[in-house]
Amino acid sequence: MGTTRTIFLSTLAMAFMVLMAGGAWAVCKKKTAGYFKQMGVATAVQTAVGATTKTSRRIRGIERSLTGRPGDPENGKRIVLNRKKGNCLACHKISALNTYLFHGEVGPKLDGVGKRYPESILRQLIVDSRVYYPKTLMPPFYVNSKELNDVAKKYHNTTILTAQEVEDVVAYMKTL
Amino acid sequence: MMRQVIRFMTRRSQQFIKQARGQSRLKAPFWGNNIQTTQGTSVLLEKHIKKRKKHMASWEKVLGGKGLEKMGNHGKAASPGKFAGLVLGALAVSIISFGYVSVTDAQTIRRTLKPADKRNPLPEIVSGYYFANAETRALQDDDFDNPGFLWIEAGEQLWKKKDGKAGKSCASCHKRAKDSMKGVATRYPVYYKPWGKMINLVQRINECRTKKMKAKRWKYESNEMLSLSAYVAHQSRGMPLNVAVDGPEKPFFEKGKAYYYTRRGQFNIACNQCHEGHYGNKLRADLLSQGHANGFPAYRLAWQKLGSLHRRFQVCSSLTRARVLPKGSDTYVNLELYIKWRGNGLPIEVPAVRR
Ligand code: HEC
Ligand code: HEC
Ligand code: HEC
Repeated sequence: MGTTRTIFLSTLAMAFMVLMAGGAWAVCKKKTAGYFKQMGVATAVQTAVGATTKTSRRIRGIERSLTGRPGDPENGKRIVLNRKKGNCLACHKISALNTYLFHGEVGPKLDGVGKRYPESILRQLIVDSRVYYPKTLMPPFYVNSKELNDVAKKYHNTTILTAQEVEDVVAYMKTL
Repeated sequence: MMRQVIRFMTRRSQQFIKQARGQSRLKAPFWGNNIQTTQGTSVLLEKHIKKRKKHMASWEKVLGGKGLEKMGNHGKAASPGKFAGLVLGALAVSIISFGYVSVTDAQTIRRTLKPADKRNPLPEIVSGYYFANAETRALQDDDFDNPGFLWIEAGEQLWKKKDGKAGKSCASCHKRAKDSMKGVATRYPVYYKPWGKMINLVQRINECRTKKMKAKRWKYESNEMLSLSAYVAHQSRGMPLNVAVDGPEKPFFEKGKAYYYTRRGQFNIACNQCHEGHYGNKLRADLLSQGHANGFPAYRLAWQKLGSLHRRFQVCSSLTRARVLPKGSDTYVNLELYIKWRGNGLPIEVPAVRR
């Protein structure tokens, strides 16, 4: 009798845990995939409407290359790693760069972004992600610091990345 | 003796279990980080828990017993309506209860406080201590190993040393720092009538030096000032921060708050985005804390010396490539007031040890 009860109870407990784990997984999944979903809807709308307002920038991203030249993914990777340039690992985890220590977790994982988003949206995300996430912590990599508040003198009238560096990072992200 | 050690050990491990349970806002890596290093009360912990007793006594006064109840149960601090949090919390509980035999003891030390002031945006207040790794915490816990005590000891000497034209020392007027300076640091910065604005502890010490002792003012980040201000603040160790903001401090408080919530620098990030929105998350190798001031002046391993709170402000400003302001500037003193208010209730830890 005692053993049956124990077995019964532990099965119940196990079931509960599996349920909880499932729930948590679903929630986590949704949280990361949410960005994607939002974008998915956005791209669908884009083809249907093709407007040219602020929302269209939001929807389409930046379609044209900033330099007219294709990006170099190898150099893009270097910029992503460089702490004085992209420093993306400060906030993001990128499994492809597992050999490098200390990946941050402030932003979502970047695994598979190249497949999640079209190039135009990736470009907009790097240039100024506030278009999609107004409250984001991600730095606007290609916005002149004249437009930003209280910037240190040293960085006056500059952008974090140059146009070509943005293209390189976009090219690298497409490989993820 | 042995019983006491065991009691401390179980308390300590319970503390970690508790924290894992209640902290829905702190994501898995946060408690993961601590649990890993304490699994089965590791050798490391055992070692420093033995040494910890003395220090614990001062902490328990604040965290244990009645004081604890007054500060509120952080179990209630879980942010409401966050289903994700609840599920994660439940998951944490199931995982933890898998690994640990759950121990029940009504008198457990809680790591987080619920803010007493309703206006405080933090759902729970957690000291930077708990975001440090086990080694760093161990350094802080042990008064003999804690490198900050070199400055405290120097401060004690300076307290007694005569200086200036008046031929006085701090001790000539204030006698024993243990009595006269007890609790002073919990109130600072305060509104200072002669200036018509806020004054912090460092500036107050310089006021006494120039006005009462007719001595030279010390530079803000000089070793002398760091030592003496740390020595004065150390007299309040274990006492909860309790700055006032509703009297004449109000306009300065509002300015500090505005600074805190404004995006700045080429990276365009505000203090709250890191310390309110992302505490418990890793930024590179750093685990983001809530950015409290209760440990300062603190010994920072990266500095290899004691440093002031305003130095930390400067570091955080340059992290975002923002304009760095001078230490002791009005803006930083107002900011100091504001962040100390956010941490009201946290025990002072001077000299804290941080990475
Ligand atoms: C200071 C932290 C920080 C840095 C540095 C940073 N990001 Fe981000 N990033 C974020 C955050 C936070 C988000 C999530 C958006 C949000 O909700 O605010 C994000 C979102 C993104 C996204 C969208 C991901 C998705 O699934 O929606 C991409 C792509 C991205 N970042 C790429 C980069 C690249 C490439 C770099 C380096 C050039 C970089 N980030 C540097 C914080 C950062
Ligand atoms: C000539 C006497 C004298 C000397 C010497 C002196 N002080 Fe003072 N100190 C005072 C007086 C008077 C006050 C003001 C008390 C008040 O207004 O509440 C004061 C206030 C303070 C306060 C603020 C206390 C509070 O409760 O807000 C601090 C901190 C302080 N002194 C530190 C020092 C230190 C450190 C030294 C040595 C460098 C020093 N004082 C030297 C007379 C002195
Ligand atoms: C880019 C993210 C970021 C921003 C923005 C930021 N900080 Fe920090 N801050 C950190 C990191 C990383 C640390 C070191 C780890 C920790 O304790 O959080 C830190 C530590 C601190 C500490 C020390 C906490 C302790 O217990 O040792 C204080 C105080 C602090 N920050 C205040 C501020 C203030 C005030 C601002 C706004 C001017 C600010 N921070 C902006 C990242 C940031």
